[in-house]
Amino acid sequence: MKARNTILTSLFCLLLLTPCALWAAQEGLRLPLPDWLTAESATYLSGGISESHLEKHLSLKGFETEELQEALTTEIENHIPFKATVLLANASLQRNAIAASNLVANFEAYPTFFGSKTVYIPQHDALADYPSTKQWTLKRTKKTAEGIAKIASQVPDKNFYLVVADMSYTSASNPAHQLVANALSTNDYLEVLNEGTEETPNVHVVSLTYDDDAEYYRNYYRTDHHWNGYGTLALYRTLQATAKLPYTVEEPRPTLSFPGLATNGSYARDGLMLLNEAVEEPAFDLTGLEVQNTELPPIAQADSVEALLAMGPIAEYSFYTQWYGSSLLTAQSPLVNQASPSDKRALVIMDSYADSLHWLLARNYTYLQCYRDIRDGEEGDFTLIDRINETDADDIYFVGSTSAYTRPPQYLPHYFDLPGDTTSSKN
Amino acid sequence: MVFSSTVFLFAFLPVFLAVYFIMPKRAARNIVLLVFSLLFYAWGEPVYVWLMVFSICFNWAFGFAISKTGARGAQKALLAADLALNLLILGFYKYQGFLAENINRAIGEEFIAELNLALPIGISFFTLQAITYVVDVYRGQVKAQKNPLYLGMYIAMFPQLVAGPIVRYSDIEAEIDNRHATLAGFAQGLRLFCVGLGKKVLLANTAGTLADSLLPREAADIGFVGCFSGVAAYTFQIYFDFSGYSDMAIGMGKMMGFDYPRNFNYPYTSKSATEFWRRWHMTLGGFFRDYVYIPLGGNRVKTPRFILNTMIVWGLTGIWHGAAWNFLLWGLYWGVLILLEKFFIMKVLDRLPGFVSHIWCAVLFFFGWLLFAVTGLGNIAEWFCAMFGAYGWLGTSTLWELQSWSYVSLVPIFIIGSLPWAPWLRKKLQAWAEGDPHRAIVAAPQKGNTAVPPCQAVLEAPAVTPGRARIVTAVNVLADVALLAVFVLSAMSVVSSSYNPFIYFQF
Repeated sequence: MKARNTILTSLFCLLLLTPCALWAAQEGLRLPLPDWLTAESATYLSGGISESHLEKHLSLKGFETEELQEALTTEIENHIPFKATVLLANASLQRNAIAASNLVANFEAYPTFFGSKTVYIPQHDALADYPSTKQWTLKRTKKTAEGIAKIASQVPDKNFYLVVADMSYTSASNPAHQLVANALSTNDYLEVLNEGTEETPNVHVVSLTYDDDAEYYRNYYRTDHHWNGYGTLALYRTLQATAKLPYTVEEPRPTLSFPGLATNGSYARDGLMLLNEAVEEPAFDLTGLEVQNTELPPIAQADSVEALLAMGPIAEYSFYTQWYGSSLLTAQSPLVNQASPSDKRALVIMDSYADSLHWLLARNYTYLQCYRDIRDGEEGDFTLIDRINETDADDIYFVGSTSAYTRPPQYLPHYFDLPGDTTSSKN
Repeated sequence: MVFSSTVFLFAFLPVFLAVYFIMPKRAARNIVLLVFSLLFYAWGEPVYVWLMVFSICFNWAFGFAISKTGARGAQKALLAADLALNLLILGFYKYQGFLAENINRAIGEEFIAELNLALPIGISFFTLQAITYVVDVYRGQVKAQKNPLYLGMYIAMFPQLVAGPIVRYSDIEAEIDNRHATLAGFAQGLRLFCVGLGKKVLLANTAGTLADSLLPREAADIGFVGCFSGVAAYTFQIYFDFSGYSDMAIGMGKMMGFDYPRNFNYPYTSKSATEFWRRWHMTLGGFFRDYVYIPLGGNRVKTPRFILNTMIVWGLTGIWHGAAWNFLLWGLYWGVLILLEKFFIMKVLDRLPGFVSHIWCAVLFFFGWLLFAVTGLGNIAEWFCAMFGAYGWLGTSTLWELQSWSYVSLVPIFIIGSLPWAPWLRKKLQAWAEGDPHRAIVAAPQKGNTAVPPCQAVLEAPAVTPGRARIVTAVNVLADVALLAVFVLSAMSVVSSSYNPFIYFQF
């Protein structure tokens, strides 16, 4: 009995002390511990690390404002041993329970863990967003459309193209879309965008929506919300027909593969379900394009595949962003085309979907500048008309998911203001 | 701070245990416990720690004064003043908003400002504990505590501060000065702590995910299936949450050498409302019995007064749980049921097979928790209607959307977790090892069932053979392994609950 109690107590104390021990080993002794043993691997899983700033808040004032408590909590969470394994195993246990429940119901999609907003689609071994039912987003989208129409009517010589990605949470191809009452589809947003811009002939709404899930996963990643290179090409062809773009992508495109790379994008990270997706991308022909930045994403480098593989875990957890360039990099890197078929200039108002598309668009213009105004997290007092004037653009593209079009009324209160406007369009 | 958080499990608890057990003397350990309890309290609400300190000071002063005053009249006046102060503080922080809202609504203008005060954590518990101390001093059942720090330790003691059990001063009076922390006691406490953590994190939180997603919704949106599964999930959530927290508290008390009273005794095995309340939150029931019901005259009064006494107690029980009409309604619901059982229903139930009583009780729990969990009298009415098909099976939702189906595989685990299979197995194993396999076993008796970790069989008589003794030991070892696994799984779940991925990479 005594031995049993001693062993139990010792093991329990040991378990309680593991984060402290890990903290001492990493921060005190600076021992080089493997990533899987520490919380390092979870850093990639969560997409970053929350700095605790413990020393900064280590005071009575810090305690009073509860910043110290928050900092200590973060510090402990940054020193949980085997953190990635713990997170994934816990989600996996819950997912197994859900899968067992689904044996009776046999739904085509189920949540990746209890309360998860990411669903797993066993038939395609793929992940998707929980379908959107937020009717109010349509109103915001309409306001954005009306704002764009207002600006477009002031510059009738310029063309506006509103490109909408068929992201899974509004895509009709998502099997979960059929399982939710009043789920919104990308077509609902397209309808609203068309309604809001119908009086302005120089505004065109362009999209490529999917009904078939198999086709969808050929053009979108199985573990990430973005379209892949093939989806980008397919969209470009649709856009080319509408905008009468001169550059035609030569077919078939050579395929680039990334040996040994097992990718897990935003869905895998949010849903805590690693599917280790092997990716292949079509090689884009970037002839004549010059990037106005010293930092180049792998796609623009000579040894592109090797450059990507050299990036390490970040390439696996954020493949699309790393390969085509992050939105920040894209916005900081205007493209100059020495072999442009025209002397026109383009402005791209984007979220991350333009990271890939802008390389193809740039083949049609002498100069292309991107602004990530409709990306999540962007706020400010700048206006669209200023953007157009600064770029001296002939064609203006909006490229984003359905949710990107809901953002300006909320986050960019003066975006559609014209010089002399006194009221904002804030909703 | 809650027990099921990373900061408690991996920082507060180990540091506390280390400092506590390093102290060689009990006096120093009491001070350590007080300091850590105040830190625990201040963690989430630094400002309100002064309220706690004030409560400790004035309750100590009143208790001391009562003990030093010989005259009964003066003692009564002091007691009344102390009770008034305690209830005033509780009333101000807990019920100010509720009273202001209803009075203003009744008179049609803002007569009392709604202060929107944050509720100090655990105020409902520590106020009752303080009251038991002063009343018991007045009654002469306990001696006044001379050392205010020790009384502070009792009132603020962190294991039971947030969610009980409501420990009376008399329960631990002797242990404050004279308790024995042993390895066996520590290990027993540890086992209970693991059971409680598992109940809270693995069962309650999981059931809570479903309950939280359905309970705030309109009945018309989710129909019968949504309302039924929402309340069913809540039925399990509240039991595992509350009893798990109590188990953890009792376990931590045992680690330090305190014997807190048991708070839950498999309430969902009850066959009547009356029995349910002998098994559910037993320390609260005991408080209202000894400090409200009996002083009102109890059942030694005429029937109308008895009915009034009962309804007062149940009204107070309801409103103690929260400042809202649905809690009052919930308390009165149980009061009425208990009266009906006493006068009519028990006579019928006693003649019927046991399973009928269980079904009767399950229906009672179900509608009781509906009153408790759904806020707003209008919503409650709609949810009742939904239970009888007013909004169809699914309301305006689809079955998939409600997500109830995804919890189906866990229902057997929830049911098993609510039943006393572990004490039954333990007693059966003990009886078999002691050579009396046909011994009559009551797994969870209503009385005398103290908090014991599951499957820790201790032979009361020698085993009939050494082989049987070895099997008992092997089962105990396996139970310990299982409990450690529960702890690891719970810790995994606690860590996972803090997972909050960045939308975009932040490198």
